Amino acid sequence: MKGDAYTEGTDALREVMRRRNAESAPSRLSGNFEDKVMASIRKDGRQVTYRSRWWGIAASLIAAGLSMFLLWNHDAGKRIGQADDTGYPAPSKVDDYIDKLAAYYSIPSYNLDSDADTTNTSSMMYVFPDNDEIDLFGRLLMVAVNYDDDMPGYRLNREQQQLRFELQDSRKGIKYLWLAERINRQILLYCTHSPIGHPVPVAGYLEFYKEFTQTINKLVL
Amino acid sequence: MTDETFLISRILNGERDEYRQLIQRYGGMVMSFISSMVDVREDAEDLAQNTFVNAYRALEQYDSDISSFATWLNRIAYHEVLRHARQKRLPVSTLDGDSWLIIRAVDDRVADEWLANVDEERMRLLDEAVGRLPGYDRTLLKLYYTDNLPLKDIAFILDSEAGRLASRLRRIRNKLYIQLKDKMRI
Repeated sequence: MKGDAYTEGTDALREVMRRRNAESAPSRLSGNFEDKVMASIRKDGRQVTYRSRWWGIAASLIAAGLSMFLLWNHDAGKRIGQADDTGYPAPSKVDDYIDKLAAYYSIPSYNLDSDADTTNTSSMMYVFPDNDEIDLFGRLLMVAVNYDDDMPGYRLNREQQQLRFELQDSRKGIKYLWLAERINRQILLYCTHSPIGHPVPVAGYLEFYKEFTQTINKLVL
Repeated sequence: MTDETFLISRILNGERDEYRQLIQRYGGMVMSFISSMVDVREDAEDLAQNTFVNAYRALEQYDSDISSFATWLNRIAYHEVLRHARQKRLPVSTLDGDSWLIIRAVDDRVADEWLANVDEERMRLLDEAVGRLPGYDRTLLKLYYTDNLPLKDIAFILDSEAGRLASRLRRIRNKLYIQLKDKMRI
């Protein structure tokens, strides 16, 4: 019993995996495998040993001082150490997707970084046409459901006029927000990220939104 | 002190050649684990070799209170595979083009019930579908179903969380069920 109720009783799958493992027999190593490893170790020249007693005492004194520093930086260190995106559904991939989509359809984009108060904050605004070909709401929804809803900060809200999607990258300490809003057959898409714990930058968005709606109103009138 | 920790302490005390015993004991396991993600045999063996060299260098950091030596080795092997994939620009894990919307809509109990039925034709199709899964998912299935490791150990190896892996396993099963149910006309 592994404590995971979902995975009990899948006998066919278990049997398939057992057969695959037996048939592939990839575990056989070449005859001189051990010799190769030992030769590499000798060539490396390093000998791993326990530290000597005096070095141990000196090291423990240094470690005592360092440990306070390391404990204090534990979270930051963890994030830096795990900041590799390979195999990880990083929220920044949503930004990459939107960027490529906008480039493909030649969608105008606006950098709203003027209201950024830290280097980890970035805000972009895109103005997409609201049509079936691009189907921005549909695409964003598909992107959003690609992420596990148990990911940190996962929040998805879709209405007729607005789609809001939020995620956090706890490894990098960054939260992301994507906000799409339908306005007169166009969609304003606001993409922003900022450090967790900081307020979401909204000044640039509000200013852009105000100018945009005013221009639209003038054109309509 | 177990036989293994005694052996490790001897290696750390300078008896370097004793490391051969660990290579003999775990060489096959590491190779099998790496082969579940790397198709080219020569590459897999090179990575297995690097795994043991890196494990030797880091041997002092091994903590038997945190994991078994086998789990610790597999974790090093996994990072070797990731490094290899980055160098060769290989996809290690992808959220591929399937509709996860549909997969979410599947009733877990229906999928589990279907996958519990041991039938030769079904297993043949299932084997093909498993072969088409991304390497990461195949590795997860291997560690869970073949090696029978608990999720917390798999999470340690794959640098993930047990809850996320349980969720991913559920999705993989649902995905397999969806891929095959049309072929089986059920």
